[in-house]
Amino acid sequence: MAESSAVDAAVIGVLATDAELTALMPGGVWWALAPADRDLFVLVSHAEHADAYALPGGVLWERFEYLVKAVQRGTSGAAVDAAAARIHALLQDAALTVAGYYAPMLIQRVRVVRYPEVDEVTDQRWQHQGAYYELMITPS
Amino acid sequence: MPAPVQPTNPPGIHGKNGVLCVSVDGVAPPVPVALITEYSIDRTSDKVETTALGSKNKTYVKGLDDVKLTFSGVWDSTDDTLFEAAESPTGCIIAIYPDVGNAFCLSGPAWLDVSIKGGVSAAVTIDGNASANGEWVRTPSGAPPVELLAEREAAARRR
Repeated sequence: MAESSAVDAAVIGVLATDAELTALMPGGVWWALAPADRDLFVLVSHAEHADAYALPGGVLWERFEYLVKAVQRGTSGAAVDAAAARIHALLQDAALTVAGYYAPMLIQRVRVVRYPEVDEVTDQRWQHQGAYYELMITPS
Repeated sequence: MPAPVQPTNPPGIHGKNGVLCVSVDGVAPPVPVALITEYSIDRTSDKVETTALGSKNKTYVKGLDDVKLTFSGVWDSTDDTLFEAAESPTGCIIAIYPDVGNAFCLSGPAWLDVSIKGGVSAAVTIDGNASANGEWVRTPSGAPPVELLAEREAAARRR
């Protein structure tokens, strides 16, 4: 039985096991939210998900859209810029292996994101850079 | 005269459990085709107007029934049934079951046209349309064919 969270885990796994990305973002790769004490980290989250169906009634494929971004404390964006490039190299057309699914039909970047953030409580500056990635995959 | 009493409404049927079957040579029994996402079958008939002077409204007489079938789906890279049926010089047989749990079926010999398309941001999909190549029949509603139930169970196991 295909479980959508296995796809999430596979995406995180590709990023978390890469030594170059780990060197750039030593705070780790996290789902949606990182621990409070990290300065350089990567966040992966769902932007969208949809099932497509075929007759008679089975799931034909699932379409995920992930927001994958590097986050850095401070005003410099050098680390997130390099990390975003590495994320793209890892995810674009990646050959994921996901239990319960065939090989992905598609993994591709659909748009980039890059923006600063000011923490209204601490007045700290944060830099965010990454992209939305579309992934289409068929349950086996 | 008062209006008749409204009958109790039976439950509606969702279209997700429809089945499209094709016999590539028009001889073998039709087999279910995978990855079909939608279909439409139109059984209209010719009408010839017979309105005359003094008629209170337009009148018509009925001509022949027509059969027009269209369907869409995703290309099945493991099965060329639809293309073989389209290439058949003697036509094929198509059967449409709106619900796998019911014997209701429209079926008959057909000439099938099929096309395939894809793009940089889309899955490879197929479209088909068919016209009658002989007499079509309607199987009345009732219990579903045993072979269709077996096919549904097999498909569920594959998923």
